[in-house]
Amino acid sequence: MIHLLHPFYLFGLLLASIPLILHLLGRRRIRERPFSSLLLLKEIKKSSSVWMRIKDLILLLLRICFLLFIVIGFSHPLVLSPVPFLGKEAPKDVAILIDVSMSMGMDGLFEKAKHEVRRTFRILGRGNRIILISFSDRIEEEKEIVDEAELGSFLDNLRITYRGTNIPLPLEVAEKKLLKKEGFIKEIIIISDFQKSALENIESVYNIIRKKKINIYASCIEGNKKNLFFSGWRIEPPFPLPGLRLKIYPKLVSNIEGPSPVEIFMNGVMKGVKKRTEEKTEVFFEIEPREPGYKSGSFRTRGDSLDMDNNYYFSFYVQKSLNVLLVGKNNEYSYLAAALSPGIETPINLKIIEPAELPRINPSQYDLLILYNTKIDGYVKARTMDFLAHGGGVLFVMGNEFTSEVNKIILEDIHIVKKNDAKKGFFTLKMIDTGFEPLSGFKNKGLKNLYDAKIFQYFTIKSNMKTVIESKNGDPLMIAGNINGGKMVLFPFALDSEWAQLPLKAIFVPLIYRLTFYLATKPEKLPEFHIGEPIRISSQKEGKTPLFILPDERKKSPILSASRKDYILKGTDLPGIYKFIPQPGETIPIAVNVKEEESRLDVISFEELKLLLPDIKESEKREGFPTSGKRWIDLFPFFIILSLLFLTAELILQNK
Amino acid sequence: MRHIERSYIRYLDPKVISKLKGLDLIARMVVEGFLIGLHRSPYHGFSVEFAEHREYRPGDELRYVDWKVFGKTDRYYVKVFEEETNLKAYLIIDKSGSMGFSSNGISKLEYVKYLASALSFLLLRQKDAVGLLLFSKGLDSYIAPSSRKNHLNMLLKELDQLKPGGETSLSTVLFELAEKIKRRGLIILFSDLFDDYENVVKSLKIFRHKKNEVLVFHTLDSAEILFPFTGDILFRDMETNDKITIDPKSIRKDYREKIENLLTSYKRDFRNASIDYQFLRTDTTYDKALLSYLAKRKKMK
Repeated sequence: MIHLLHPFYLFGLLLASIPLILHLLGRRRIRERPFSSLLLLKEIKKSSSVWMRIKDLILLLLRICFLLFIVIGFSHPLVLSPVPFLGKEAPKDVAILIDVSMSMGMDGLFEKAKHEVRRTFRILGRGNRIILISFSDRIEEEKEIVDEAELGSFLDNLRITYRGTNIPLPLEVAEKKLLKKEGFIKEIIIISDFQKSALENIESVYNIIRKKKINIYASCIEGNKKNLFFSGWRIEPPFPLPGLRLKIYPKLVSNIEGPSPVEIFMNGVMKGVKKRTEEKTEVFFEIEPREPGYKSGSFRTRGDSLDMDNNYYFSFYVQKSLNVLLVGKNNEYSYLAAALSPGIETPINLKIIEPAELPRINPSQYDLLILYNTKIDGYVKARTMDFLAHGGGVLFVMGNEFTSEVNKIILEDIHIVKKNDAKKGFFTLKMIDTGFEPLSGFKNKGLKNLYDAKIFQYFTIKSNMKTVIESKNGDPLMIAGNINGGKMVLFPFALDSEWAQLPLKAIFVPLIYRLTFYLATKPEKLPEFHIGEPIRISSQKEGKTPLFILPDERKKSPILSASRKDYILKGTDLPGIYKFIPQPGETIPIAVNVKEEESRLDVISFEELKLLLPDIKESEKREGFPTSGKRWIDLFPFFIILSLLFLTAELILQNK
Repeated sequence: MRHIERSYIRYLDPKVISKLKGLDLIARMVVEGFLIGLHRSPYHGFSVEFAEHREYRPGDELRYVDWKVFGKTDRYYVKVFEEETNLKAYLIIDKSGSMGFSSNGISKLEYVKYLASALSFLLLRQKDAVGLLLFSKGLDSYIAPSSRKNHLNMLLKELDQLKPGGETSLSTVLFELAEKIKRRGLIILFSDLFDDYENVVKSLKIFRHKKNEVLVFHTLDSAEILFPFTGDILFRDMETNDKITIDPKSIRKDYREKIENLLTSYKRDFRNASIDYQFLRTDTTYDKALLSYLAKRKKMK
């Protein structure tokens, strides 16, 4: 078996055709020349012509062989050594991939990885061509390393990033780089903690590379998996208002025994400390924003093996006070009005009018319209639809008016038809949709006594509406949906003790508050981003280019999207609050956090990796980096000597 | 004066002389150049044209005693005037096709033509009779020897019209000539001698047997000696039009060896046959050839 170390040199074989071409050209170019007498020439030619022809051919052969062997020599043909002490290992092209994603920032993990790089480099020894590629979910840096000094400098400058991991990407890059190299032994060595999330789609990439005869080795760096991290947060109520006490819950994931501290910071100031224990896994902080506007902060914990995800950033918006318009008659709404105006200071301004007054009111001044047992026809319907079209929220409460023909079709999208087999009775609760924002965190216990509700069953609803509380016989107790661009919630019964006992329950007031906040607040939720994702924020302001202030206080201008509807900021490499300044004096805080899967430290062992990638080899257990244990002899000197011999023979013969 | 001498001497160079027009001029220039050169040469004192003084020897005619010298020196010297001879010189020129070969601008025949003109001039000046024979395969032209004053013009006219052509049959022609020339004389042969070697020597020996003096000017081009050609060449024989393809490089060594042997053989065999032999290259100055002639002439005295 012969391998060529520099097959590119074989193009030089074309050189061997030069003597042949010259020979052929020379033959064709015979000039005629008069000469005084051919007497002597004929005598000489008789004796030499045959020999000359043979000599010519031999010279041609010698020249071709000389060039042939010199070219073959420079392509460094390697043959397997027949004896173990002869020859040496053939040089290899090796790509070492070192993971610098956030998870490698665990205690000592990165140092172990760097040590493994150094060990591998040392074992590979001189003469091998080594490319170092550091990667996260992108290629961070790549360099061809020649000696240990270069390696030291490369490793000293390596830094762990906050980014995620994507192993197929550097594999593909390494494959391309190695295929450009002319060496016949090619290897890729991956040094990583091998998180499961980093291996998505790796099989197909791995198989393609293996087909190209590139060996892949893995070095699974293991570390202490003491882990505590934030996976998100929520706020109660989900619609913060000034003066309203809020509960902020960080979502914590932990495998640590014993208590872990969790702190909250608002505008850089610590506002509280809680201890998360195995028993009390959910902790929360109470805050009471005084002013409306954008708020931001962070949670902090410590005590696990990965510090880089110990901070978690959040931001939210506190609405101004809500203006609520209640349309009703005959004081039927007394329970509802009492809930909304409890006699203490709340962020709700309630105004109550008779239905007849509605034409004189400008609904655009209000955030919520409550139609309490009101006939919905004519101008009421027109006003309501207009209100919804402007993004307002509407709460319908149905009572006796429900039976009126007018309300058989409340709006375009809800069909209210009296059921023929409707019976009076008592019903127990079947379902509460806690995915519906105002009902999040609600449990059955709050509504368990509703079984004695006296509800006439008259309803069928269309598909764009959703039953969020349902009785056991299938009738809806609360319906929600979007109509004409606005939010709507409908109670198919009057909120008084005659119809149902709901207003008498303790849960009634919080429920009404939640519904009010839900319906009255316009969608201004702040988006959250992860490291590596571009921040995309809609552009509403014309004129000056907005600005971002990064967590490290650097300023950066976003780019405008192709559609010119959004501003985009790329290069979110640091977690923290990115301050978006659309215009002077206005700041929108945007939280960027590390990826949860990167914090999760859900890694794979080499044995598990081998199940996924069958013939992957374990780098650390390899003693040296043999190329299948065989030694190779470089035939370079042999061919050079041979070509020189031919050259000498050619020179001797030429002068004969 | 020096300048004039130098300008004459340069006419001994075939390249220079070939640029002149008119053979009579060429002949005169070559001879003048030669004679001027002669005075400055080791042969100084050897003269053929004007009288010399020598001591009186018994038997000398008294009318040649120079009394003026006697008056000055009290010694008898006789004046030796231009020699009056009855020598017949035959200039035999090979005009075959091979003599037309040239590698340096002047062909062998041209070289020979100028040399023969100069010799004619010189011979006639000495009152010798000069004849001319031109040959290739056979005898092409013959002018009987004469020492008349206007004979030079005839000779030069013939030489002027000389063109190379035809095959050589040197030995045959020489045998023929040997029969034709009845009276003893000086045979001067100008040829490249490309013929059967033995026959050439044999035929010239006949002249010797008939008591003729023979002087051979073996004239070759430098390329015929050095064979400096490169690349594959189809050589065409200038006489027979035969063709042969040869890589000159491959036979150069053999060729030079052969031509060297040929020259050595001619030299040796001619010497053995008491034939004077002078090898000339077409780039050789004419004084060499003229000196050979003079040496020969002196021997014949």
